[in-house]
Amino acid sequence: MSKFWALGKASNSLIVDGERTLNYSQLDTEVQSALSNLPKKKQLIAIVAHNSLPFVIHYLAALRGGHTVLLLDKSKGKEQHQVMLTQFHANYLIDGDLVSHLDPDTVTLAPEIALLLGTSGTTGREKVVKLTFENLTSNCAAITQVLPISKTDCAMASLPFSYSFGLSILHSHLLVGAGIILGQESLMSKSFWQQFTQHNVNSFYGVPFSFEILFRLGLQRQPLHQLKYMAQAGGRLSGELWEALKEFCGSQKLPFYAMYGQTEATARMAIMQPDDFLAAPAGAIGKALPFCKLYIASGEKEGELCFEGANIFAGYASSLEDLRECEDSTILKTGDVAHQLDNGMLQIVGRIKRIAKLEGRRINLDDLERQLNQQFNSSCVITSDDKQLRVFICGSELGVEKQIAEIAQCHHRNVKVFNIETIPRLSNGKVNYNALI
Amino acid sequence: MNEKLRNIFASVLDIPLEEVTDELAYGQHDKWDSMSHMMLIADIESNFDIMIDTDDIIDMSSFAKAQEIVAKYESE
Repeated sequence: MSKFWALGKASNSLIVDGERTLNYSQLDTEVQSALSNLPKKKQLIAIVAHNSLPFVIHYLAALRGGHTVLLLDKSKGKEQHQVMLTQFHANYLIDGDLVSHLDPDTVTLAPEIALLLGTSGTTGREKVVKLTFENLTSNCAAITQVLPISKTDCAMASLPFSYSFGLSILHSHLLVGAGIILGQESLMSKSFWQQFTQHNVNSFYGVPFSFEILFRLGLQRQPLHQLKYMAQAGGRLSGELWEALKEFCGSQKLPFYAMYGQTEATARMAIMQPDDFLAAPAGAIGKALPFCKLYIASGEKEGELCFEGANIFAGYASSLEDLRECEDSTILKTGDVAHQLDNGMLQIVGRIKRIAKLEGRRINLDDLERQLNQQFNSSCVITSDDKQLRVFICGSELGVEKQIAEIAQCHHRNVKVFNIETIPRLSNGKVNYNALI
Repeated sequence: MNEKLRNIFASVLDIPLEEVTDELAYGQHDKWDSMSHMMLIADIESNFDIMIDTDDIIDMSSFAKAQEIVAKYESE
């Protein structure tokens, strides 16, 4: 299967990073030169995931050399990076153009492992998802089959590359040989829209929050007429947003691709074609990617959604030991509860794992509950509607929203605290979350 | 107007009033991200009873700029 790091497609498109621009053959030369500075033996290479050319060059070089890349979230500080470097004994740290050799001792890393991606856990020890070279190539190939990316297209790559969706936009465009505008500008900044117009960007990728911003800015007011299509992933669109997008994209005849995925499946699992989107209810997911399968575990109308495909991850890792081998699982339990609609389409109706999506990030509610129980001397439980965290504390803790927001790493106004007398429980002793909503 | 605006910034960004200076800028201060930006716009609109245009939303890149923008609407 084609490897995006080989940059095999002849293309006239450009990769732009502010003032610096490379074409595909220049990028290839840069990658080759970065590769020549790395050892032959497989190394663990930590790279700070900036949306910049130096990142792209070093990242592709590491993959081309068959190394394992550990991506560090640029929004986390040096201290947290250090925790990761120590925990996994990284051999190299690459930050921008700066390459530091850290640990000369090389251990035997499983040859298949290409990439380690964070899971945005909130507690102390980091847990990463192990992805193999095959995971990357198969998922990337499948995505480019179902999205209409061509080499004359151009997309903004401004979602973080330490995030599987952000990274998959880079991968798929490199594989096709399309234009890529790198940058970390927010959708709310003037420079984002200046670049959007200047480079004639014709595809828009966003998480639900990106589309909220688009609506806030006024869809009609943005240069969206230059778009060929829009694509969304990174969590469920709210019913309101879903309907608004249907109306806008329907009337403008702008194809909209709603996509479903998670890091444990490399990036994508399903994509809904634009025509289906216009007819589908909120929460519906499209068809599984080519050569993949999505089904309800129990075989009934409703139950846990399961996925099969070559892009299922090779297990979690929280230490160097875990990088010696790969787990080979054929089925991924998504943790999402799906319902089968009358037309056969699947619709997500809830989650088994208690994970909230807030401000585009995953928050594990059970982890957070544990942390808060340690923090406060009274027990508390948390629910979430993907817009805010609702924290129920036994007793009379007041004004703790900011403290909680700090721990959960979200905006303090998205935390709502309620004082309750006792935690409602089911007869089996488990928390009755439904009684709290 | 400036005091009211300063209070909005301090409250949304959860920072002391003294930190709300003209130099306070979007993307530079780690509390002023796109989520906070949306909340700032909503609070400014409701407190000053104005509707801010798209161009001004993306132009409001610092506290100094925010003062200019609000002053413009207030005088309309």
